[in-house]
Amino acid sequence: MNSHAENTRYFVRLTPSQRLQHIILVVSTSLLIITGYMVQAEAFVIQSFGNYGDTVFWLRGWIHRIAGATATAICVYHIFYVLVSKEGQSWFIDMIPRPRDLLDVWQNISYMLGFRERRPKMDRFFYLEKLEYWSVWFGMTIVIVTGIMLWTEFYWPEFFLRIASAFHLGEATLATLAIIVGHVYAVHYNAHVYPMNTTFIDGMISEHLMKEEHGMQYERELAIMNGTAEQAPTPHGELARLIDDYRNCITYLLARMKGKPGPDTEETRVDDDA
Amino acid sequence: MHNSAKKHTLKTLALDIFMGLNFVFLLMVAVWIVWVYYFRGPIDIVTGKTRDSDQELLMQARSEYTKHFHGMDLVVIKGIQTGSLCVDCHGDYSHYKGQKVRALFNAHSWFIACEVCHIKPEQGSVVVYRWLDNKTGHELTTLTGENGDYGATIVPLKIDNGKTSRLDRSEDDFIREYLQTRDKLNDEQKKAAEERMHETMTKDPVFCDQCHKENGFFNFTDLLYTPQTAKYLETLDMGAMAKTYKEFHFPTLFDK
Repeated sequence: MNSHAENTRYFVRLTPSQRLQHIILVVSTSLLIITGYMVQAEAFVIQSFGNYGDTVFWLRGWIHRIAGATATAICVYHIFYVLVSKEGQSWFIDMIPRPRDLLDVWQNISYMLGFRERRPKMDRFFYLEKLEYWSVWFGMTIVIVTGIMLWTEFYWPEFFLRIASAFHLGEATLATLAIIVGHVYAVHYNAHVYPMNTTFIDGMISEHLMKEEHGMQYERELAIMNGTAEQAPTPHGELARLIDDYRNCITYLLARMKGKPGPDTEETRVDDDA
Repeated sequence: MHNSAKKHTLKTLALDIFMGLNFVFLLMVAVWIVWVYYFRGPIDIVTGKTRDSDQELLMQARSEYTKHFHGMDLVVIKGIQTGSLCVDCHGDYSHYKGQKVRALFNAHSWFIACEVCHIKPEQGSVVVYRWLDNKTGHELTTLTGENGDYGATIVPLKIDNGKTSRLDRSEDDFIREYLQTRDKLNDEQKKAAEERMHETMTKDPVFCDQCHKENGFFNFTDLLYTPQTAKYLETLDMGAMAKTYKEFHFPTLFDK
């Protein structure tokens, strides 16, 4: 927890565009959660508005729609961002799940249960971050589609509206709990970052945290900085590495089926760390 | 050194308290959301029991609806003895056109005489609307009961030279005669009789928003409503609701 010492080096983790996308999503999602759950509010809460109840709930509806449209817009923007821009493509490639993630899950859980000495060295995004990211894609698809259905209720039979309503509330509940229990813990209450991970503001990550949570990327960046990289690799977003990872996995599995040790076994990987 | 260390401790303590409170708040929100999603609603999916407040209501509803598959034992008796004869041909639930609003109209038939909305406005005579007791036909002086169930009907009364007459009964003699003799009439005679008895009816009846507005069709205070209820009935935006929405439900959220 000495992250602000003067001699600490910092790495870029989030670009300005990514930070802007994040903050827009934070604000719109917070508004959506508040105005959405107002519909479920207890009677005494609604009664406490008194004569302003109608006005408050009229505003509630509009704020929910505006925030929903904003969240939709930022999601659409993000699709173009990952398709078109260089940093977006890099982000997307590194977010694609790979066989190593399964190994990370196994090794990290073993570490947390005390069966391993240290955490596995993880890449730019480790499996929990990938899960969170892809659950936003999954969840946003559901809430946007059902949200549009509920907004255009004129055009739908009641049967579909009921399904849409159930999905909208269900996915919102899932997302809200995931944010409160998962994300808020990870960025506020996790001992590494308590009381707050400031990466979403300044985009920087300290060397200590980088080493701790993204060991593989840290080593790669270090090798580039020191000029000791073998064949000028990019620190992140390399499609070849993703393909390699899958190829290694398949080769390894095929070799195991034939009874030979593979090229990229768990043992060789962990020994790097010593 | 000592001071700064103390300061630092106080600062971290304050931060810890702040973050702790945040944590408790978020935890409460999370618990409430889980409760809303999983345990809320008329039926508790875990225990299969209903919430206390709904228990009685649900049991009541169940006992009503489990009597017969189609609830055929439920008979609604209006108990009206001085009503108009329209229902003899058109039935108690006479509004069938207009899927959206027919239920609302039929609900209004419970306490409003057909002629209130369907009669042509007469020129040169004063028409007032009064609650008349369903059994005795006397004018009500106070409303007892709830939500339109006052044992009375709103009836249009014509005042002509100080003489008051019920507009919903004006054709009664003719209609009674017709009902008794219609089997003996031929199609042309029937058609003529029907035209005669409907000639005071308008093709453009009163719609929701003509009554439910300020200075509308009715003066709700004259109809014995309290000023508060009168204001409520005036500001009910029923017309806009019927015109704007394809499907709607009766709100109970802000009802008085």
